[in-house]
Amino acid sequence: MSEETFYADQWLYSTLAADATLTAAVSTRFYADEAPDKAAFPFVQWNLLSSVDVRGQGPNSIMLNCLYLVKAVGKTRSYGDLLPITKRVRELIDGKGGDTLAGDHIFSCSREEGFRLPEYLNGVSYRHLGAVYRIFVQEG
Amino acid sequence: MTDTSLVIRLDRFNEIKRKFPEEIDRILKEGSEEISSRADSQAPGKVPVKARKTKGGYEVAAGSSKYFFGGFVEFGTVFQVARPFMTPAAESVFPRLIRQMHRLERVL
Repeated sequence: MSEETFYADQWLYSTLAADATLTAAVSTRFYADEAPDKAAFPFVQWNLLSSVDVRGQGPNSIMLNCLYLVKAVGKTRSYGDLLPITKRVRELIDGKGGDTLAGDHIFSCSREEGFRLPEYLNGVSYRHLGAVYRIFVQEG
Repeated sequence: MTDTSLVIRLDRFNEIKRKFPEEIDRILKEGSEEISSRADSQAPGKVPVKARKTKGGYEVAAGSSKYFFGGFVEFGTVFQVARPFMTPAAESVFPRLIRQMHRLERVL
């Protein structure tokens, strides 16, 4: 974990929260790592799964190679309810990149695999649907 | 006929495997054991992590019928933050596996 992951978080948030289609579906419910206790459903959440430094010959890190799980979470028994959200997320970040407002660089973001997870808790069903994305990020 | 100036070949794994079966087995075995060891040291609670041989190579598995919640720990739940332990272990070992394979390719 390092500060570059914070820049990746910023890029994800600014990219996803600026989209009218997504905000129509989840309002402002975009969460890094953890959703608040009383968050309404559905929401978009991302978690850092792994981050590895990319080095050249010397000791300095060139950039950070991250794996992010970006998913929609809903109080539902149907993945279909979440499909429009995850498809839109994919359109917005897969194969994309750019700079954050502070000038940090997202060299690339590319989808590596799909993800889904059913959860059943206290008589309530939840579904997680999304994908794992590889993000290369460098401090500006 | 040469019609391109740049070629990336991804077709030599079978050749490497055929010529160096024992070396490939050793690389995969050691790699899977290291992933297992790293993941096991990071795994919360008593989630068991084991490397085992399969028909095609090796696999690393977390959990059992009793400790079935490895996926929830790795990816998070509605009320629980993700605490990945398998993915970081695999990601930290993969580059070395690729380098070892590449060394074998060079001697073909």
